[in-house]
This record gives sequence, structure tokens and C-alpha cells, in this order.
Amino acid sequence: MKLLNLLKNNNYPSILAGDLSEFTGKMNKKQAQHFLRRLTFHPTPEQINQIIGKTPAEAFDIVFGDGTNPAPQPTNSMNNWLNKLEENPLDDLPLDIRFQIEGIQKAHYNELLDWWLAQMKNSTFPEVEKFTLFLSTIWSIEFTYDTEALIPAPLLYRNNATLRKLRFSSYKDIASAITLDGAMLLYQSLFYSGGSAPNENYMRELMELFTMGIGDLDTGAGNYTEADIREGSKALTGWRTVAYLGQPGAPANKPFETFFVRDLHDKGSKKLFQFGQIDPITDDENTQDLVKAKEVDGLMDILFTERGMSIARFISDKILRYFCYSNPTGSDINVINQLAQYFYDNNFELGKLYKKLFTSNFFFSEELYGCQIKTPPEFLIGLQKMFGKDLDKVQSGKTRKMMNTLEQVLYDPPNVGSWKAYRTWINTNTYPLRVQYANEYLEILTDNELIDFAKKFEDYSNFENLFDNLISYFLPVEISTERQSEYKTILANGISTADWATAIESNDIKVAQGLRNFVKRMFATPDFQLC
Amino acid sequence: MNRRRFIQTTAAVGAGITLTPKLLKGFDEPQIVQDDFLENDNVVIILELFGGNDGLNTIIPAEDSEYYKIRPNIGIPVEEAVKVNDIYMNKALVEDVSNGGMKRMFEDGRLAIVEGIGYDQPNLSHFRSEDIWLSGINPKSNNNKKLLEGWLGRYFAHKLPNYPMEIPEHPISISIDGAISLMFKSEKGDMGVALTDPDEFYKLGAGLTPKEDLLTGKNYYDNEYNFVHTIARQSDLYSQAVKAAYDKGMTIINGDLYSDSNLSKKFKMISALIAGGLKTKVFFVKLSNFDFHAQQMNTAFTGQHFVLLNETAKAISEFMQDALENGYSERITGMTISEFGRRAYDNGSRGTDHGAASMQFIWGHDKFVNGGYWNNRPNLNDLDQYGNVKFQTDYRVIFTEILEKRLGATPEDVIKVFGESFLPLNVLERRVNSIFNQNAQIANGKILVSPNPNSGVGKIRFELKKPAFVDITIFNLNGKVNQVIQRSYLFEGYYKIPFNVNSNGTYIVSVIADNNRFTEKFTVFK
Repeated sequence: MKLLNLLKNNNYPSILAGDLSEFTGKMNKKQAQHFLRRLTFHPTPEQINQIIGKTPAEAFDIVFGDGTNPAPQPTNSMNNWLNKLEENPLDDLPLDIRFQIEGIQKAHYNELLDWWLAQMKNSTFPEVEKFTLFLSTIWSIEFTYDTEALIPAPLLYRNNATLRKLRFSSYKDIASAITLDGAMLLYQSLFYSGGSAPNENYMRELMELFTMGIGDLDTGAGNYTEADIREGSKALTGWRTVAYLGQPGAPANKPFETFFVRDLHDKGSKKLFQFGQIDPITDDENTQDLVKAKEVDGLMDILFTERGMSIARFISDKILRYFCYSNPTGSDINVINQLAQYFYDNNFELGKLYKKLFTSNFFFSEELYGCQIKTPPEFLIGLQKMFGKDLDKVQSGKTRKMMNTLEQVLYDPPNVGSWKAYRTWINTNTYPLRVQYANEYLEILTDNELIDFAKKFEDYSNFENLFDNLISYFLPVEISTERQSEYKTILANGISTADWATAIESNDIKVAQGLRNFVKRMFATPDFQLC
Repeated sequence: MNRRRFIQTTAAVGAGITLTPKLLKGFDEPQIVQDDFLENDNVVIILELFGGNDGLNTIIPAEDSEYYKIRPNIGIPVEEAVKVNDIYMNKALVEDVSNGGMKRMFEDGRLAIVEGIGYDQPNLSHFRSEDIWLSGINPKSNNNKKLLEGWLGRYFAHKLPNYPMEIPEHPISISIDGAISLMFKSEKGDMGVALTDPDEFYKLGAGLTPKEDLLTGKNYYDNEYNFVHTIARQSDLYSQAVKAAYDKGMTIINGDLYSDSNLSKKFKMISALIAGGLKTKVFFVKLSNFDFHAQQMNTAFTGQHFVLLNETAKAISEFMQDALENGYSERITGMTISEFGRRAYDNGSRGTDHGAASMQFIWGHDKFVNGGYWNNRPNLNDLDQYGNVKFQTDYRVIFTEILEKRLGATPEDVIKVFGESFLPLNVLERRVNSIFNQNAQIANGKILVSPNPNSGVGKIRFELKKPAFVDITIFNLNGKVNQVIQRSYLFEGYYKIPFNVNSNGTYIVSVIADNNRFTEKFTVFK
């Protein structure tokens, strides 16, 4: 069998200009679209118009919001189970009961995902969900966390609410909050950690994956030793969450709340790194509030003091990959270092870091346009944002099922290291499915819906204007004149430029046909997969 | 296939262990002569019997009275079994199956039955144990770790360094299923495709090659654009290749041979794809519902287990007849896998619970499969603490046979795939292309042990045709190392190397010369 070499050119440039100074100009259409493609799953035509002519700083405040918007409400059906405990299916129950409970959990989990995906689809400004999802991809939680056990959906809902609430906050506060998050307690085994046998699972992942990485991104110096993991684990002993009905030792009437078991806490001293010291505590001090302040928050103080720049680099790198370009090269450490310094100097406030990055000249540099491969939600939610029709109203759970086949099952990444992302999103299985889903979606749009969609663009009655608007709406970077003229022919569908205004105003079927063929062609271009 | 690059890569690996360049002076440039897996025409078919096939009611220990004691409800009496040579088959493997079914295949030497396949510290969860089989990794104590890559996925990814930028012209593997089996997953992505219907697969991929040109710039955007372009084109090419082979193959094969079951239809489709010229290396098929906690057998020695075994035997037998008629049977190697066997005791509900070690079928052409019964009979008087049959041979021993003797792997590749070394059992004969034979390092590809049987003392004899790094190791039958005799650089010449083994038993000596393995079995009887 022969090998086909389909692509030889494979050299990666680095981001040379890492100019984080503020871009103070007013954004043109191209810049506004770039801004919104990265800060949302995909903008609507109206959202683009809202941002054009604003400076990035002005636009950032609109898109990001000030954090005062209320949290989304759960559905009525979710309200029936969000506070309802079920038995632990692994508690030696008869097999049919166990399967029954697991079935309930699975159904609730699906409801939760449908709800979260609906928030993504329906979100207006401020855009909340993309930043929530970003945090969720770092602080991985797997619903099927063990090969046997499932995390109860109410705990996942609470985890989601915490991430949403803290999406602008200091990264240190997020670390404290998620450390005692019920779903994380279960997932990374602190739920089983006691004074005599501190469980090291979480402490290791906290440092390796959630905050600083094994080694510093710039210097390469090792960030921690096995001894640091052991000492940190001792500080985190004694925490449990009310996860199951009839759970031994659980406080009454506090479903899915985290609680402290003083007998399971290690009261001795803990020492991490060079200067990190937690002093021993007395029996009187061994209470939920004091241990949380002194040992959990105290541990975070140690990590963020002793390894502050490593953490700042590690998180800046993740933000760069998620929002700017997924494959930075070695020399991009220049940008990472600048972002990290700013992050460090600003108390690890995510909101401030985002604003610095998204309003920078760097963010608007030419090489960052259109270079991100759309993630499954950027593709699927983006598609529904573009045309404004909700697939789940056509068939319930449809978006979730498509997300699963496109290989991003929310709250169930392959492992604690999260999804590999970037080019792994597109392969010979998922690419044909992406095109198929897009075409199926196009089929459920009526002719009038397509024409209404076109009419959302300014000057739609001018063919050339509409064409330019549509092309830049679907494709992130300017295209060659050859491609333009080919696509124009498809869109015009035999209608002359002079006749266009009359045709579209009268909802001429030929306009709808042209639009349909044009959109279908867009779906089949490589750049439709980029943003 | 870009052979030059392959040779360089492999040579570099080999050079790491061995010699200084000066030893090679005066000789030709060293040639790495292992089989080029992309060019050989071997086809491997893996049939998963999911749910845990009951090995004890498939090949029946009818001469072991213990069997009837521990299976009072579902033990199959000797008169209900089919005797073939000295084993007893479940009659569903034979009766109502064309061409004498598995009985005939066994008598012809085209079918090997390997008993006692399993692994250390067995896991009794279907899904976990299935993952262990498909991944080729036995994590033992770390049993919550998700297994995300398959043994063949890792192997193909290792052999295709530029994947997915450089891809085989046809899908390297096909899962006849809705999704790609874990077996073919790798860190480079899915090494293969999944399909259940070539026409549907064609519709999904046809015409996806972008009408737009590749971009010539080198910035981020151009790189990612070209990446998507490449994947789109691959999807298109594969859909066309599969469809073209299927349409052509359907006009060639003898479709009348096949029964009506879904499994037979799947094998028929595979036959058409092979006959039509698709160069896919591995096909994966899954037959579910082997999990018989109850009613696996009805009173008249019928029931679900019989139905599924019958379906299995029919599909295999029909497919091999078709392969024979169409002249490609030499290329085929098939094997069954199953995540575990059943509990030795029946459970009182006319069923069995999850077990551990079980048996495997391996079939093909009699020239290349050493048909017969391999390993010892299951020892029902020596069960593990849960009442399960103990394993004799690690499942990866059989996978090593497939990798080394069908897919061109070197022993070093095998270590890369499993993280440890396994010795093939010799159930398969090596079937490789001519390049291998012409360049064989060991004269006639033969090593001899003399005397054989021996009293524990003897000589390993072979003729090395060219200087090579040689590893001589004696293994016991379950694939574990007994002793390393020699690991060093040897000049060409005739060698007689003494060995000394302490205990009675059957052993296998393995001689690896520059990554090519040769083996010979011998028996010690003091």
C-alpha cells in the first residue's frame, strides 16, 4: 500500500510581535469580527454591528460585562432533582436498583448538558458561557470518573455555577473554591482522604494540571517534589461532600454541600517548598471555618506566593492557546512572560488579564486572524448562532448528541488532562460529520428564514455589499479574487446585480436558492472550520 | 510506501544498542530486512465476542468429571458434544454449518484453539476488561486509569511517523461498527475508519475534497487551512476507495455462501472489500450478548449461547470458503477475542457469572496457521479464589504473534506497543513478503535445538549469514523469560551455543538477529 503525502509544508512560525500595549483605535468590521469570534462561540450579525466602531476596551466591557448579571435559572425539571439525593449505586445494592439509580443519574446529567448548551446558544452580551467552558476545560471533571462510578449531576451543576460565578475572579479564589467543590472532592479522591492516609491524587493534579505544571514554562525548573505533594495532601484531609442518600456521617438537610470531618483531619504541621509553612493546630482550632481559612486558603497562599510566576505563566499559556492560537512555539514565551507578569502583578485577576489581552495590539496582529480550529461548540453552537434556529427545538438533545459524536462530551473529557483540543478536533471521522450536520441544519431552514437571515446585514439590497458581508461573516480571512468571483456566481443564481434589490425585497425564490447553494458551499470550504 | 525513511528510522533504533561503526567496515551497508508492513498483503480479522464467551461450554472438558460436578445445570454431556481428534466441541460450532464448520477447519489444520488465554489479576468488569484487551495494557493495581489508546493504534502510529499528514492510500483499519474501536485509537488520532455500510460511508465522505486550492503561505492561518484541507481530502479519498473496492468485490465474491445473520453479512462485506482490492490491514467485528447470567442453555442443549456460537462458526466458515474460492485465503488470519471467560461453576440460573481466562480461536490458511489445540486443558481443580480458570498465556502473546508475523513488527516495536516483551507461541507461521526471505540473516530461517527432547542440557544451532546483534533467550510456555543466554554482537558463521535448563517442561528458544526473531520449541525431560 502506498503512502499519500498530502501536505508537505509544515513549518510553524512563532508570534514575533508580542506587543501587549493597548490597541486604542476604533474597530473596523474585520477587527470586530475577530474580536467576537474569539470571545463568543460565534457572533450574530446584530452583535457585530453593535461592536463596530468601538474601541476594544469599550467592546470588552460590553461583551464581558461587569459580573452583575444574574445566574441563569435551572429548568423546572432540574429543580426537581437539584437538591435530591440518591443512594450510592456502589453500596452493595441489588443490581437492578443499582442500574435504576445509574439510569436516573445519566438522565439528569443529560438534562444538565442540554441546559448548559442552551445557555451557550441563547447567551447574548455579556458572553458568560465561553469563559465558563474555558475554566471547565482546565478544572476537568469526568461524570464517568471511575470506570464504575458516576458523579451525581447536582454536584456537576454546582461546579458549573461556581465556575460561572468566578469566571472573572482571582485564579487563587478559583483554586480555593474548586478544591472544596463537591464534584472535585469525589473526582480526585479527597472524598476518601483522611489524616492517617492522606490521598495524594488531588494535590498532584492541582499542581501539575490546574495551576503550575511540572516545570516552569520559561526556566524549566521543577515546580515541586513528591514531598511537596505529600505535605500539601495532609492540609487537605478531612473534607467530604453530601453526595448520597443515607451517606454515613453526612449532616442532615445539606444535600450536595461540602462538610468537614474533624477526626479525619491531620492537625500536624505541613511544610511545602522553601518557605511554605502551615503550623500545627489545636483541637479547638480544628473546625470547618478555621481549617478552611488556615489550611485550604493557606495552602493556596503558599502555592501562589512560592510559585506565583510559574502559575502565572502556566495559566497565561492556557489562555493563549484557548483564545489566540493553539500551537504556540518556543519563542512565544515572550508573549507568555509579558502576560504572566501582568497577571502576577494584578493578583491573578482573570478579568484583568482578559482585558489586557483582548484589547492589545498583539491580539489584533495579522497572524492571529482565522488561525484557530473551531472547537465542537464553536462549530455547533456557532452554526445555530449564525442562523438563529435552535436545533434542540427540532429534536430534543440534538446539540448534545452532535457534541458527543464530534468528540467533546461536556463534563466527561477523556481524562483529568482534559481534551487534547486543537487539531484532534478534526479527523476523517469528525470532519465528514461536521459537514453533514451543517448541511442537515441548512435543510431545516426554510427559504424565508434564509432570506430573513440575509436581511440582517446592512445594505443587503446591494448585491456587492451583501456578498462582502456574507463572506466575512462565514470565513475569517479575506479570500482570493478567484474564489470571490466563483462564490458570487453561486450567490447571484442568475440574478443580475441591477435586479438584486427587487428580487430580495420580493423574497424571490431564486434568491433563496442562491443563498442556499452559497451557504452549502461555505460549509464545504476549509476556512469554514477556522475562526 | 516510503521505505527509505523507514529503514533509516529503524536502523537508528538498532544502532543504539549495539556496535561501533568500525565493526561494519568491509561489509555492505546494514540492511534492515524486516517485513514492510504496508507492502505485504496480510489481512487480519479480529472478531470480538463481547460479554464474555463461556470457553468451558465452547470447547468442552468432557473427560474431566470435575466439569460435571461444578456445572450440574449447564454441563454439556459427552454425547451432546462433537468429538474432533481428542477434543470435544460444542455442537453449535459444527452442526448446520456448511463445509463441516469448525470441525473440518480443525481437522484440516486451519484452526488453532488456544486455551488459557487471559492476564494477571483479572478484572471482572466487562468494560474494563474489554479496555484491557483492546488497549493491550494491563494496569493491574492502577485500575481506574482510563485506557485511551489501542494496541494496534499505537503500533500503526509508531509505523506512520508523519500521520495524519502522510496517510496510507486506503484506511489502515476498518471497524465494522458505528464508531472506531479503542483498539485503533492512538495519540495521533484514529488509525482507521468506522463504517457499517460502504454506500453510506461513501455518501458521507464523497466530494469532500475542497474545490479551493491549498494555500502556499506559511503563517498560522495557512497552516491550519491546509490541515483542514488535508483531512477533508483524506475523508473523500477513503470514501471512494472503500466504495470502489466494495462495488468491484461484490461482483467477484460468492455471495450465495453466506447465511442471513448480521455477522455473516458483515463477513460478506469484508470479503467484498478484500476481493475488490482494498488494502486495509485489519478488520474489526464485534458480536455482542455473550453475557449469560441466566438461560445460556435450555434443557435440550440449545439456547442463546448455542445460537451465538453457531452464528460465529457459520460466519467464519462461510467467509473462509469464499476466500478459498477467490484465491485470497492465504492472506487471511482471523482471531476471536473476548474480555473474559465465565465462572467455572454454574450459577444455578442456567447461566454463569463473569470469569477470567478462556479460549481463543485463531484461523487462516493451513500453511500459515499451526492448527490444533494449544496449551493445557483448563485445570478445574486449581481455580483462582473466585472460582475462575487461571490463565496460562497472556493475551498479548497472541497479539505479538499478529504484530510480528503478519504486520511486520520487530521485537522492539512490540515493546513500544505493550511496554514489555512477549514471546510468540508459534500458533502462526511468519507470512511476509519476498524482501524478508531474500535477506534473512539466519540460513533457511531455521534454528535447531539438539538434542530435542533433552535432559536440560543441549545446544542451540544456527547459521548467521551476516554480522548482527543477536539476542538469545529461553522462554517458558506462557511467554515469560526463563533465561537470557546471550546478548551480543556476532560475526557471520555457524554457531552452536550451549544451554542448561533446570526443570522439566516445554520451552521456546528465541534468537533475534537484528530485530528478526526466530524461534524453536524444545522439551526438557530429566
